[in-house]
Amino acid sequence: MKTDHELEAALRRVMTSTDANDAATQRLLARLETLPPQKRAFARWPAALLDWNFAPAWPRLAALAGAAVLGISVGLSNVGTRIAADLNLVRIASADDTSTNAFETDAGLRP
Amino acid sequence: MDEPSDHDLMARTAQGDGRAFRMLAQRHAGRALSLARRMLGNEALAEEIVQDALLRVWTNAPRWRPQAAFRTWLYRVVVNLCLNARRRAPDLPLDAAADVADVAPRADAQLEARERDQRLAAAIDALPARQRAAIVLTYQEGLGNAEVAAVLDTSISSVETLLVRAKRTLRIAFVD
Repeated sequence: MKTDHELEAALRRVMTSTDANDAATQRLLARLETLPPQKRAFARWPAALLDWNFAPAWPRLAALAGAAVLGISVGLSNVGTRIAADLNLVRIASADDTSTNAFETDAGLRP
Repeated sequence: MDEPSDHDLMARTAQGDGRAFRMLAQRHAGRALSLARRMLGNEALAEEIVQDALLRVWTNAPRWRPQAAFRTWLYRVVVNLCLNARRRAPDLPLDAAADVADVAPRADAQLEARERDQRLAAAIDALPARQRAAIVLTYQEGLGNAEVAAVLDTSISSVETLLVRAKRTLRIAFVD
């Protein structure tokens, strides 16, 4: 239909894109001179521990502190004791035990 | 020396390269502003929307996966922000429509054509938001239906439906 073609032509004519005026674009770009911090992908967090750049960085410190707390907690808890017992690393002291060797001799571990 | 592609600039932006991001912004800000202005009919709000969209591009760049062209992603953010703005403020004050340039001597037929174009422009501004988005992306930005569907996060058949409905409404304004 002629009207459809005319409408299409009119739409293209009316909607002809002109880039926004330079002043508006420059205002916008000027406001982007200062940028906020980026959101890091969660998968990047383990990589923080492998970064041997010794400059202080809170993600690495936070990860190390968390690992330290976890390790201390496990060590002081029953879980830690049971793990150590399973590995035959600890000889539970008793009044009759005169051994000074902390390791089971038949475990093959050197004193 | 070839200019870096959008993909390369986004990869560098994801690494925190502010200079690459500004190059990307400079490349696309003008078109994004035109899109937002056409969607909203308000210059000041269009600037705010595009600034917000570009800042979201920057802050989320490390999470960007190149599944679509950068322009598609940016337009999707701009269109969504515009649709949200329209939803929150349906009575947004509209800027006066720009006159269509006329370099030929005025005659009755040309005056009539110019008035018809202005009626059409006003009818486009009055379309429901998603129909207007489809019309603007197709006729102003020159996107194909597939890319319009990607921007609007919908199917190609939905885009075709939006265009059919929009043109049905616009035809009435155009013919009258």
